[in-house]
Amino acid sequence: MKKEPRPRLLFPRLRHVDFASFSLFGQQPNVGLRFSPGVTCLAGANGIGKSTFLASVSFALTGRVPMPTRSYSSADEYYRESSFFPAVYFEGRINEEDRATASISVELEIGSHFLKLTRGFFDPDGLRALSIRRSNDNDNPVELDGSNLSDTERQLRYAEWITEAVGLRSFDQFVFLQHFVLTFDESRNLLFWNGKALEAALFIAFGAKPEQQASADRSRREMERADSLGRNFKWQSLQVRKRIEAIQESLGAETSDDFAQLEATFRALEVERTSAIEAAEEANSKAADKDLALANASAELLALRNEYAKAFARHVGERSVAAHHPLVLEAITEKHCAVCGATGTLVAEIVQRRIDSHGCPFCESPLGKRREPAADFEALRSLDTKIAAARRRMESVNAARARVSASRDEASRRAALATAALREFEEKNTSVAQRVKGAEASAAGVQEELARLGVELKTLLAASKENYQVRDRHKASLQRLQRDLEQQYKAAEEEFVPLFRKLAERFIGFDLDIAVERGITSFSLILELRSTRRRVFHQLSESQRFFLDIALRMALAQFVSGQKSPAPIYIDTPEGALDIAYEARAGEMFGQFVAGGHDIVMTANINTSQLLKKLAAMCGASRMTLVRMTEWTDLSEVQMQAESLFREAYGGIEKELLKGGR
Amino acid sequence: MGAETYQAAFDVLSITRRLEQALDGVTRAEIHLLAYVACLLAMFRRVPAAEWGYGFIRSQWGAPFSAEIEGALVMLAEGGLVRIRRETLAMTTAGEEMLGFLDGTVEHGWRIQYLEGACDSALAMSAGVIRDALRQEPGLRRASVHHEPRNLLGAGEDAALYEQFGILSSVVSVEVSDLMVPSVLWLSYLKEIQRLEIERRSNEVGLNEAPNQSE
Repeated sequence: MKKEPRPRLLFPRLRHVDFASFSLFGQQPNVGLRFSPGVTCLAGANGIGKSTFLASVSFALTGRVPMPTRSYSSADEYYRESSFFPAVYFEGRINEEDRATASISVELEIGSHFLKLTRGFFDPDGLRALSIRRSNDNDNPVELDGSNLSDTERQLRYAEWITEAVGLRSFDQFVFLQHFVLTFDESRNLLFWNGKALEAALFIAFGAKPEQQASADRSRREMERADSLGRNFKWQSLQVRKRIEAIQESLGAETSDDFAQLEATFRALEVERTSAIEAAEEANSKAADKDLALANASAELLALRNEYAKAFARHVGERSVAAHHPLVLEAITEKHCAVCGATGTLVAEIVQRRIDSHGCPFCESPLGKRREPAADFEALRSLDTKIAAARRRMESVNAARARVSASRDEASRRAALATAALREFEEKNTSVAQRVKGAEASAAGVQEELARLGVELKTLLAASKENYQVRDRHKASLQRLQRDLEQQYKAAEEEFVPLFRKLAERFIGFDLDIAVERGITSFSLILELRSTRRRVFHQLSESQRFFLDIALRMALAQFVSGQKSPAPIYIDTPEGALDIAYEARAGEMFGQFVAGGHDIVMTANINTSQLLKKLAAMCGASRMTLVRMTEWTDLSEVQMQAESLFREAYGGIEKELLKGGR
Repeated sequence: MGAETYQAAFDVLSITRRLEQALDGVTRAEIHLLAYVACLLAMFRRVPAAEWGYGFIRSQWGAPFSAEIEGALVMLAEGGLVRIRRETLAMTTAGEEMLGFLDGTVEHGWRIQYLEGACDSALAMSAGVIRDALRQEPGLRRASVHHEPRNLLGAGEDAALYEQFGILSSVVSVEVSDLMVPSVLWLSYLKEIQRLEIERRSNEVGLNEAPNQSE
């Protein structure tokens, strides 16, 4: 067999990310970050938005957010069916008033080109801005200026351009690579144990052309579709055969309706009703959440107003001192003593003098000094600011509640319609059954029906056979592609396997191997640990699974990007599942990947883990940037109390950065 | 003391200062009346009556009347922020200082435009004319047929008022910068209704009396 040149992909390298109005990062909603080659590690406390950061970058690149429950059937189907998810994902992360303006901009370097794009968080299929230059020099003419295009046109141009620049066949392949291979996110979706996704990744990595992966996807989809249709027709023919037997047994029963058709309609109505009711329940629960949030916001506002009222009353009450007593005021301003009736300037002067010397004008008891109003005003001003903020929050929650309520009403309407449609069908179906019974009386009708059912049975069996033949054709085509892939993989094994082993062994600390496993219509890779094939999930510890999976992704990315171009890997808080023994080894594995000229964009919990320290020591400040993400948003009270621990942990890593990489 | 009282206290200070400078003092009854007009102007701008902060009633002792305004008056007088002499209010230095501060807050600042509109109307039309005109305001008019006290501008009480405001906003935009314009226009309209009412009644009396006169 002639050895085909394997494809080399050119991955986009992240240079800059800018958020706009991103409410989750409360302290810095417009935060921007420059990325240097090597490791960029965003370290921070729990719940600060680390995973959201990586998901947002993925969204900027692909218009999609990796779905936690993603399953892979084909790249185009995944791309199509995940379009709803960004809105769900960003809903709780972006305040209602920021929905229109919130956006993310990224600058990417791809070979000798620089691409800048801006994407609104609630518009997955549009771009607000797009420009492509040949180098980062602003004097260079823009190769593509998207300013005159519509948002949708910009997205289409971007998709075309990046697909070609990376060296793929379609944009959905790019999305697949980004979500399933290059990103190891919080959902811990493992490539090694996701057969279809791994096969697609192997087709892209080792196939002769990117088309091979699309063809395999297509063949598999068509094969599964034809198989399903073949089985459906088979099942229907079984129903018809049973019907014929029943008629023959009871000396004939006849129906003019197609039972299978009715059953299919009935099932479709049931599915719609269940789905509509589920959607209505979910919408109800969302609405209840918003009601609760509104009640909470109202309570906050009320509490602040009560505080304001107290401060207000304190200020006014504080002034209820002798100098403002109505009798004193009358004496001073009207020059009239309301007690003895004396009048004249002297009355005012005496009363004023006694007040000035902090004594009661009547009994001369000493009076306390009055507090300066400035202090009261300061307290009121601070509360006023808090009230204004709480009011804005309440308005925001209120707007979100109105929107969610409208969705709930719509979902309830859909559920009511689906329930009514099903009831109507059931009623009609009963009358159909009654008509069928009436027809059973006619012997002629029986013969006629038997003949019709005979024809139907024949047609169904033929359709089933035909679909099974289509399935077998696609199966053969898929198997052909998989055979080719096996050959292509074997030709590249010499280069690829050492890449993987070097990374994986650095982590796991003993020899391991990787082998091909062919099923009837599957092609997969399997791990061999100490001569035991460990395909079964639970035979590996959680940390072993995670890091071997990351090693596989790194090896695939390294392999397809070749020696000249860098491969980026996006990793979300990998240290979580590690025990102490493996922390430093994981750091070494990452360091080795970066030493090959590749990039890691990662997030990590800021703790005393050896992973980051080891990585910092290996990379040094020239190849690793530590971003203190705790400065982006408000910390919880517990976290604020432990701020010194965060500082200490950051300091420890930064120390390693300074002395490392030598 | 709650939000109702501090909003009422702000309104008292605000109205007192505005009318003291222009009219040489303002009476307690005028404070209630103008606070009510200010609340109506806020409703003209689609602020719900519930957000005004306090309510008004019509009772046999007078209308419109607000318990919160009355409470605020007492509190401010005792605190030396206003002086009340022979039912007329005047600001003190402490009151001026307090109002100077409150004018700059978000919590009170939004009301200034409505209080200004109401006070400017009083300068243009006099409190007596305003009180007469307001007798035709739908809420007050409906409440006036009862002996028992009635809440004004409560839920379900404002449909007729909004109908009038709808007509008014077709002549003067809701967004008009000076609220005195719609205020005076509307009060003049109410006054006109009152004039026609009086005319109608006197005609009825005339008709009823005519046969007697002929007898």
